[in-house]
Amino acid sequence: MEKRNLYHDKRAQWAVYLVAFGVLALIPVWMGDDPFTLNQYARYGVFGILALSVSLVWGFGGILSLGQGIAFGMAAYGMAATMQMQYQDPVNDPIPSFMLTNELTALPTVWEPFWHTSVGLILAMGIPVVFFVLFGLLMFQARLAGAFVAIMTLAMLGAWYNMAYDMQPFTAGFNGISPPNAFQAFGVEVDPYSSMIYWVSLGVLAALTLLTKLLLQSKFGTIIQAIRDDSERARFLGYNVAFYQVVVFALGGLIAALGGMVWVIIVQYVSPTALEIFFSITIVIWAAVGGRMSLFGAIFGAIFINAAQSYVGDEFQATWFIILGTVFIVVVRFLPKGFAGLFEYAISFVPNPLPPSRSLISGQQK
Amino acid sequence: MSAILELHGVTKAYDAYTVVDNFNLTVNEGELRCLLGPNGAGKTTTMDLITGRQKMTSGKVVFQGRKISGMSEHRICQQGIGRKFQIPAVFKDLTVQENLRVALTRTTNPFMNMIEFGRGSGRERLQQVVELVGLQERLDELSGNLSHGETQWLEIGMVLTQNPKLLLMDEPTAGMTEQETQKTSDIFNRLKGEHTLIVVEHDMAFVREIADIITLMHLGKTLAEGPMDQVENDPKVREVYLGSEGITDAA
Ligand SMILES: Nc1ncnc2c1ncn2[C@@H]1O[C@H](COP(=O)(O)OP(=O)(O)OP(=O)(O)O)[C@@H](O)[C@H]1O
Ligand SMILES: [Mg+2]
Repeated sequence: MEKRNLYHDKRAQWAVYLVAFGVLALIPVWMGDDPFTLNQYARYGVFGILALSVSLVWGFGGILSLGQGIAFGMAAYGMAATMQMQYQDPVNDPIPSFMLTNELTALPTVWEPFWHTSVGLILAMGIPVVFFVLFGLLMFQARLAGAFVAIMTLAMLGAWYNMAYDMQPFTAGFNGISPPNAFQAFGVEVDPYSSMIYWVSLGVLAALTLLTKLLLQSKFGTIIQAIRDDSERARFLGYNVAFYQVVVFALGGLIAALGGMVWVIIVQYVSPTALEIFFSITIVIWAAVGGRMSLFGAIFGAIFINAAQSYVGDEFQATWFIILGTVFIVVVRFLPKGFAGLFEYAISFVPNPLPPSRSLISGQQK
Repeated sequence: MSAILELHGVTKAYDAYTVVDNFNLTVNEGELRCLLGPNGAGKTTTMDLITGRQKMTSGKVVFQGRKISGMSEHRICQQGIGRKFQIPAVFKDLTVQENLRVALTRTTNPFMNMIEFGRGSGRERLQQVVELVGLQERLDELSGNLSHGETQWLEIGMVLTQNPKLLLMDEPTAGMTEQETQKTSDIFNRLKGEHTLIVVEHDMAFVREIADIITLMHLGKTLAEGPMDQVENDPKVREVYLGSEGITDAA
């Protein structure tokens, strides 16, 4: 009975995902092209990407990572370096100005690869993933789970924050890096105040969401949920649990990294705030409120909370974190599946008009 | 008949307290062995040592001529040893059908499983198992909503899906009604011959129904081994269960 709920029907889910992204893609057409609004919405897209990564890793993989900001921040720095080097001139002006103020006389070796945009993009995306693989191996081989993983990821995030802050000649420390020009790829400039930036952000969000959805419907998706429910049982069915957890964790890192790259294209800026502990915890709250066991729920949570924050007006900004904390506690206590769970419940009263799908076991219609 | 599983001097000690004490066991292919013993005799621990869930203090386990002690749990499982836990363990947030699909491990490689969408593959095996454990009507139910007996069957079904050569069943009828127990013994009798089974059980009526040979454990050691009648009438056994009518009342 449970599964005849329209909410669980895969065909209905795909339809909703496709329609929703289709409608979102039309927003610039309807709403006009106020550059600041489009830039704002593009930022929401990145928040959605981050919530998506938490939904995959925590909601489906059962790994409570408070360190998604590590991948986000690393990729953001990689992207900022790439954009900065697009601005520099190899002959006349090879060293970014913040390095000169920090008394560097040559471009640091770690910055050299970023002369090439394609190499820069690969590094911005690849280094966080490699780091998440190694960090994941460390944690999951040791069979850490639950709060221990949360604490480990949080501590690691703190370490990276300090590093970004302290390595001033390489990262511009507290001030951060602000590449002067918009990002250019294949001769096209991505203007951060245009419809284009909105579509880039939404496009990445949509592509990642649909790919994750597909992944979750593969057997891999079922296995990671099984591991979340009872890792011991999965282990004694012959699964290398740590291997699966590392893969999920790294995929979550990849998604967050792509979010970080898009973020820097939008804001043309990166600073240690991308690696702030508070920011990473907030991402988890978005996903929890929207519904971590639903990709769409988590994304909705991110957008809803951020939109709410920008519309409540200035007098509430001081108390915003108290409001957010309260909402989080209420949701965790009363709505463990977040808004998505509420929606699941509501829609269970709607009769499912779709014919039953084929059973994967019997091959018969039920 | 050839030995499929051999335990040589298997020992598990916590500080000074030895839970499994220089325990030897040989199980032949196709046999259904019952492992009996009072609470705390070391039966579950023995299963933990075979499957790698706990590390043994000394001794070794040989499966199909190959030393498996020291391998990781999933590697031991991949050799062909399936296990049902004493406390039934299924994936509660997944449906019955999803539980069984996870148990169908044609490959355990995560990347191969990313391109596996379950169309057709292994359907016959799942169909057989579902019929054997009788969960046809419950395929789309969340397994967290199953009754206790159904949960036990689902876990048995999951282990069977894997088609392991050796099945370890820790108290498969615990908490079952009389009819449910009867159904379970029918299932086990059908498995005999094709699979080798080691069953830990307290329900003596059930043991009588299914067992070929019984190994009686006490304080981590073998107290007696042989067919039911022989073990029951063994004077050492009567001594251990002093004051009772024999092992029948031991549970
Ligand atoms: N971690 C541990 N530290 C110390 N003693 C332990 C530990 N784990 C189990 N034991 C002891 O080992 C003994 C054997 O336990 P085991 O679970 O193997 O018994 P069993 O034969 O399966 O009993 P039951 O019929 O109650 O399931 C028990 O006395 C138990 O208290
Ligand atoms: Mg036991």
